[in-house]
Amino acid sequence: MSKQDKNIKYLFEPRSIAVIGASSDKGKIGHSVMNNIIKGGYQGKIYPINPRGGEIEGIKAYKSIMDINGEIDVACITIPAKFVVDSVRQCAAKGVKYGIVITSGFSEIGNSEDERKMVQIANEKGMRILGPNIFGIYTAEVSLNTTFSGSAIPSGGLGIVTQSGALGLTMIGQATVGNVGLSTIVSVGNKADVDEADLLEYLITQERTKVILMYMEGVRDGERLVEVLKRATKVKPVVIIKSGRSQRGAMAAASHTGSLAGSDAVFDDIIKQCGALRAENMKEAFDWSKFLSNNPLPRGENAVIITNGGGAGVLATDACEKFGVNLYDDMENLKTIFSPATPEFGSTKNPVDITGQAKSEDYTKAFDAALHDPEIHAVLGVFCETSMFTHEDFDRAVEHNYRQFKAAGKPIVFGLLGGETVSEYTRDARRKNIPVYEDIYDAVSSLGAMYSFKRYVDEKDDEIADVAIDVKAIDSIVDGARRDGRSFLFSHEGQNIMKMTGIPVPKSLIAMTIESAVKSAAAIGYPVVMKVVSKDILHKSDVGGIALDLENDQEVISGYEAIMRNCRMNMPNAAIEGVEISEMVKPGTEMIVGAMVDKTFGPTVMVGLGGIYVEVMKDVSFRALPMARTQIMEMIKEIRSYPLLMGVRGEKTRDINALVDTIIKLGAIIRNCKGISDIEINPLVIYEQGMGARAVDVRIILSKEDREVR
Amino acid sequence: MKPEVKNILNNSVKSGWVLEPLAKEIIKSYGLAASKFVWAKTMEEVLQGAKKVGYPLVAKIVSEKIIHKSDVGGVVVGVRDNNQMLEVFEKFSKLDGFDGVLLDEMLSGSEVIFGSKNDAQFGVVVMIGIGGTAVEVYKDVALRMAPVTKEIAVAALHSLKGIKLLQGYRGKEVVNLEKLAQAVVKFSDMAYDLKDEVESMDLNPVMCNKDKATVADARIILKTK
Repeated sequence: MSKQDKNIKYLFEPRSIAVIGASSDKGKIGHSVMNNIIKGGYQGKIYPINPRGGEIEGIKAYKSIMDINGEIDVACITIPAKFVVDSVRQCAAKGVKYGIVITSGFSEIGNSEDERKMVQIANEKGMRILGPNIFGIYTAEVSLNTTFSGSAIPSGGLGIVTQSGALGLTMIGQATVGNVGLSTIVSVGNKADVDEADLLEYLITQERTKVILMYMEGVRDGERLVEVLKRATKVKPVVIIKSGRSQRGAMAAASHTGSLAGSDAVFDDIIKQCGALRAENMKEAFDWSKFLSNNPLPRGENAVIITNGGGAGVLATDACEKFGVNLYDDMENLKTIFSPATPEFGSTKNPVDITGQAKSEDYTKAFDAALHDPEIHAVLGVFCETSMFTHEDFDRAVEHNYRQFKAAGKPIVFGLLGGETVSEYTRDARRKNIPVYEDIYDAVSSLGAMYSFKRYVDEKDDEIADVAIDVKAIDSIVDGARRDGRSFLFSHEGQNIMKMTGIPVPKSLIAMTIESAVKSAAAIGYPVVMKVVSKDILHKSDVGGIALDLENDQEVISGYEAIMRNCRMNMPNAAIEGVEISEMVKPGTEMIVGAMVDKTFGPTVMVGLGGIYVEVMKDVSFRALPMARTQIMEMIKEIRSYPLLMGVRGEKTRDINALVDTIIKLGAIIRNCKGISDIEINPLVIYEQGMGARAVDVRIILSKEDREVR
Repeated sequence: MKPEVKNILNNSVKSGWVLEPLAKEIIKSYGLAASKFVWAKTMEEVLQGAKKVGYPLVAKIVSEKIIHKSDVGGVVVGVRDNNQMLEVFEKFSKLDGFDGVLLDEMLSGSEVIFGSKNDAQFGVVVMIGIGGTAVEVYKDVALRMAPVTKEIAVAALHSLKGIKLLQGYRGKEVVNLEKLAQAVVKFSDMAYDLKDEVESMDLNPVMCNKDKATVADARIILKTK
């Protein structure tokens, strides 16, 4: 885990910069970079470095960085890959704080050796590397543009961190067209050293940046990213686009938790947990970023739709539901507010329909009513193009009212539907940063993103839920299994750990012979369940290694024989230790609960509907640890089968507290026991409120080697 | 429509729905398999019927007043012997509109649900879905206009997310999808044939195993005229 970097300010606000590979040759990147630095109006010291010396763009060039007298904060490296390591060595010796390595040809094409070497050499002297394989950095704070972008970059409040260089360049283009100003744009490329989390640290505190937009392909240190993201999103919105499904699919099909985690689902859930807004595509990301950087947050949940068309109103209503925008529904108050602005054949219900005859002044009347009522917190204006509207009418109905709302600190968005007039008007209005959209869904999507952000910011920081556990006792069980050469625990060992942690399990005994099986069954009390115990058999039901609902001695005997027969037939090479006899658990709601060490995000927990549904329906949710009880509740509410826990068909509510407690306990185990990589309880049977839960089947997988515990 | 079906429907007009044992008769007349059952009204009939169906069995209340049987405790699964049977009879006989007990064979297998309704826009529509919890919370169902062909029935079944659960998932018995698809076709024919009299039907569950698809419970709601 990389530590917080106190120098990070110098990457964004360098007092001096050396351009290694600066060139007068217009075809070279070293020329574009020099050119952009000068044209961008950078006021710090510029030192071109070129073995030929002389002058470049009118500035004295040095043959080597060692020849420079002054201190150098940033060195921008544009020379061919084979010279980079030596160059970094010199920079480090000179005391350069940051190396911006634009050059490509490293780990992205398999050359990891040089990449590792350059970072090592730099870090030894306290220098850090941004890149390699990047387009550079633009930072409005000091008007510095070290990119090789062809166009000038407009300055403003959006900070962009991108893993892709090419996409980054297109984002500059889109920002220019959309009139979105940037506070900074940085590409991280191969992330050999500096990563998103380091850059976020700076952007959190930098005032100029109002909204952060990140494009990511993979995450290097997920735990740190989560930690920094959580702080960032409390202060300003972070919009994330992530492509590239994770490579963890290969991870242990042995564990359901592991195989489910291989999907994009973990990233999605955890990013949400951190309060970041995940956009599906570039357009949405820019729409959100632009809207969030220019508009006030709503003071409450009541949104109102004002429309001149019934159909468009219905569409808008659907969109509000989809994007989590709550429509104000106090019909009496709505009537009082909007009656004066609505014709008799219109409607004051939400959507407020001011009818197809509405002119711009009718819209203004309705918008004014919404603006001045304190019960209304956000407005969606919907326009269907009619003969009532020319470009000028739209100006009056949209721009005028937008200014009023913005001044009063109330958000408003506009969805315009129509032909050429609408199309031309929206283009002009968007240049003026007025939130108009040519589709209602786009308009509501932006408002919904704003609400997600606001809700997250308003959330209290609850106390982290944790319990004390006997780590030593658990470690000794793990060590025992390791000495046996096993990479997982037997189910009775797993159950012991559950008992130690205070998670209730069914009574059970191990039997090696038919006779002791019968005795054990009697001791536990009929009916009982019998399962094979073998280190070679992980999925017992697949091989017929389970017998359910055995009611008497005779059934225990035939169950034992059947299990032995099935296992020998289906897995002739499996070493069978015996059988486990356990109490037959009363039926309840079956859940799956898991805890694992995710490759990216570290200790993670999962919850879902158990039994056979978990893999077919994939109805699970994930969270990174640690977290508060309230957040665990939210995680549980997120699964589609949550209504089952609330009781369906006249059943009573289930003991959700017992479920939360179990999640907290599994979390404590996975965070503290270094020998364990995966725990899965499936099913965890949950009974009625106050009646607790039973961990029926527990599967524990050991780490390959003791992992680092934090 | 066969005369005996017409007869049952006519006799059910007053309550607006068809009692389960009669609904099962209708289903059988359209060639669908139903669980073995006896409709018993007295204590003697109950004991005789139980012998015929065989323990363990499912006991269900028969009453024109009770359409949602489990909501009033009118279904007991796994009745084991005569003693328990008599207890259940005693309890049921106190329920509103008691008209006997339906003694139903216990079936095992995967649960599938069939439904039909008269849609205002599309006419008779049939629904098939994975039964149990999945249909409640995941709404894992497919809808098709009746009547359906075998090909449509097969495609509809394969459009279900939970189809894996019918294909021998994790040691479960493989369901005979051929027979299941045939049952869907017969059900859709029946729904279409009864479209003028019937508002909606629920066959829930239809128990499916490697041999066949058997209707374990049926509810037929009539149109109000």
